[in-house]
Formats: sequence, C-alpha cells, structure tokens
Amino acid sequence: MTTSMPDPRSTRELDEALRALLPSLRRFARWLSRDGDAADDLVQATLERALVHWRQRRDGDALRPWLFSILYRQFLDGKRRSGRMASLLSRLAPEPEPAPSAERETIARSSLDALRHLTVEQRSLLLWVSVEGLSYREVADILQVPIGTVMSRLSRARDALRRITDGEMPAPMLRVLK
Amino acid sequence: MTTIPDEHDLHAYVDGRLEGEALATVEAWLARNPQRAGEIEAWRRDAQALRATFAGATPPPDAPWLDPARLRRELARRQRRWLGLAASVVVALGLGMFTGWSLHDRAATDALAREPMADAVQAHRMFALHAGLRADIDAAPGASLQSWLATSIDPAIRMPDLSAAGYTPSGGRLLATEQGPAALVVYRNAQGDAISFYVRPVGPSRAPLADGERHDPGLLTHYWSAAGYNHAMVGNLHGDGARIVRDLADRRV
Repeated sequence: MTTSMPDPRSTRELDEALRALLPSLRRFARWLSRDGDAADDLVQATLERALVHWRQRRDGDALRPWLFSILYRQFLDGKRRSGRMASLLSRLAPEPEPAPSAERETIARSSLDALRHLTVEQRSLLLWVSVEGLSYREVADILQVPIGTVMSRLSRARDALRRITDGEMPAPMLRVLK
Repeated sequence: MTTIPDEHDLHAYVDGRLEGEALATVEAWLARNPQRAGEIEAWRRDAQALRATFAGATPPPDAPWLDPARLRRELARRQRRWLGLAASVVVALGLGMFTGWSLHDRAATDALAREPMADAVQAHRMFALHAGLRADIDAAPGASLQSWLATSIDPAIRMPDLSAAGYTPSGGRLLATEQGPAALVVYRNAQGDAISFYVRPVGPSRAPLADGERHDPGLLTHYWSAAGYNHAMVGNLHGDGARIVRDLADRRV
C-alpha cells in the first residue's frame, strides 16, 4: 500500500510529485475540516509551505508523510487561531452561525459525519494508517512521539471508532459494507 | 508455547502488515482468545469500511489553482513584489542613515546633507548603478516611459531627450518618499553607463528649489523645480554623464 517515491531532484520533478499527491492531501484536508473551501485553502497553504521549505526538510524525510505533517500542523494552528477568535467574538456578540458553505460536499454529507466525534489526532491516525497506509514509523515522525506511543494512541482511536460504529452512535458505516 | 502478541503486532495484523511466522503467531493466539479476537476483527472491519467509504466518495471538484507549478509562479510573483517594496524601504533607510551620519560628522558633511535632492542620488545609486534591481517598467520602443510617467506621477512632466548624446531610456521605477510618489527613469548608452532622471513632488511645506548642483562621490547632480515638482538629473563623473547633465542644465536656462 505504501508507495515509495524517489526523492525529487528538480523543481519539475517536485511539481510532478506534489501533483500526484494532491488527491491524498485534499482527502486528508476534507477529513479534517469538513468544509470543501476551507480544506482547499489548507491544501494551498500546505503546498506553498512545501515549495518554500522542501530543501530544508530533514534528510531522508519522505515527501508524503512530510506533507501530511505540514497540513496537520497548519490545521491545528488554524483551529487554535479560530478558537481564540471565536472566544473573542463570543464576548462581543452572540455566537455567530457558521455560514453554510456551498461546497460541503462528499465526506461531510456522507455517513462519515458521525466521525467528527473523534479527535483531530484520532481522525488523522486512522486515515494515515488505514487509508493512506503510512508506516507506524512515519506516523511517529509526523506526531514526533515514540513508536510505542503511536501504538497506544492508535488503539484508543480504533476503540473510539468502534464505539461510534457499534451502536453508541448511529451506525452509518455499516451501510458501506453492504 | 504461548507468545502474547504486543500492541504493535496486533495493529500490524489489522493492517495486513504481518507475514510468515509473525502472522502465524498472532493467528494462533487469537484462536485461543476469542473475545480479543472479536475486538480485533471489529477493528479490521472498521478499517475496511473506512477505506471503502473514501474509495466511494465523490472526488472533489477540480481545483486548477492548486497546481504546484502555478502556485510556484504565484509565490515568485509575490516575492518579487515584496523585494520591490523592500528596495523602496532601503532607499528610505539609506537616506535616514545618511542624514544621521552627517549630523554626527558635522564639520565634513553638514553642507552636503543640507543640499537638496539626496533622495535622487540614493535612487540613482540603488537602481541605476546596481543592475540587479528590477525596474517597474522596461522601456519599449516609442513613448511608453513618457506615458508611464504621465499616468503614475503627472501628465505635465516631460522626460528629457538624451538621444543626441547616445542615451536612451531603459527602465522606470516608482518610489515612495516623504513628499509623495517619486519616479526614476534610467537612461543608458551603448556601453551601459547610466544617467538618471528623478522627479518628485515639492512637498506641502517646502518652497520650490532654486536651480543648483550637488556633488557626491563619483556623481554630479543638477536639480530644479517646475510645476510643483522637484527634478534632478544624476550623472557619473567618470565617462560623459556629468558633461551631459551640465549641457542639459545649460539648455534649460
């Protein structure tokens, strides 16, 4: 499942490698933010950062997990910022209604909506390991924790997903299997 | 004999990353521990369902603006614009430092600092003598720089014609000054020597300049005021720049 990619040597090779990873990045961004426009903004910010910094990344960092880690951090930073902004606004005015985006497509509308009860880290772990097939080592590098910690967090994430699909929450995912 | 698989092996089993003896060990252990086996099997089903859901999801609409090559060009464009701004700031800072230094070493340079149009000299040094800085506008054949001046500063401003001396306009640059927007037009001859034409508003509190000359190391500047603007021509002392600047001043009188 893991695709190993030769390290790009030229800007043209890097562009091609990034282009190939674009669907994965957009999928991950939508999995995190659930709003199509915000997700693509996140992908754009990630790619821009990658274009500027890719020569400074640690030796041997594979491109794909490196991009996931940039996107993950950008998302967390954005959440922190908007959290501060929201608490500021709530002191000034009644809670603003989140504007419905014209493009809350795909994942948001799908059965996976119930999975928003997972934490950001749990959602990320499940996508990286189960869908994208990153190695546990790569996940440990992204989260900057020992591999044993990844294992125990992955257990908690899988248990949490289990509880959601197992009747504590509506069981939307079973439909998919039929 | 019984080896209890660790967390790593159980996840690797769920994710299909075990083979051979390691796989057999986990399977044997799960066969003897049906309750744990049920949980692990449920993990595996969840992971499958997650993959199936993503595989079945409608792909998001095309987003050509996310193309890496396009983002790279856009980044480069933003960076160039930023560098341009930074260069204008450097002119302003350079002037500030120059003035500060003159005040410090009053005896030698007081007179020079008080001479007007130091900004014209700085702009000439920055943009005419350092070829690396990009012009805002490159000269195209005809009157394009003249019309650029007219639209960016004032239609009343006329660029001098130095073609008889072998100098043609090569590029223009807008600068921010305390008195308002300024423009620099750089002329070059076949050898690449530069003469600058600089123009900026007189400024609200200042009286128009009397015609005059200023002398900076290696440079001669002639300045005058007309129609609410201060003008300056800056030429290099080596080569014919200074002579052309003086000739032009004589013709104006």
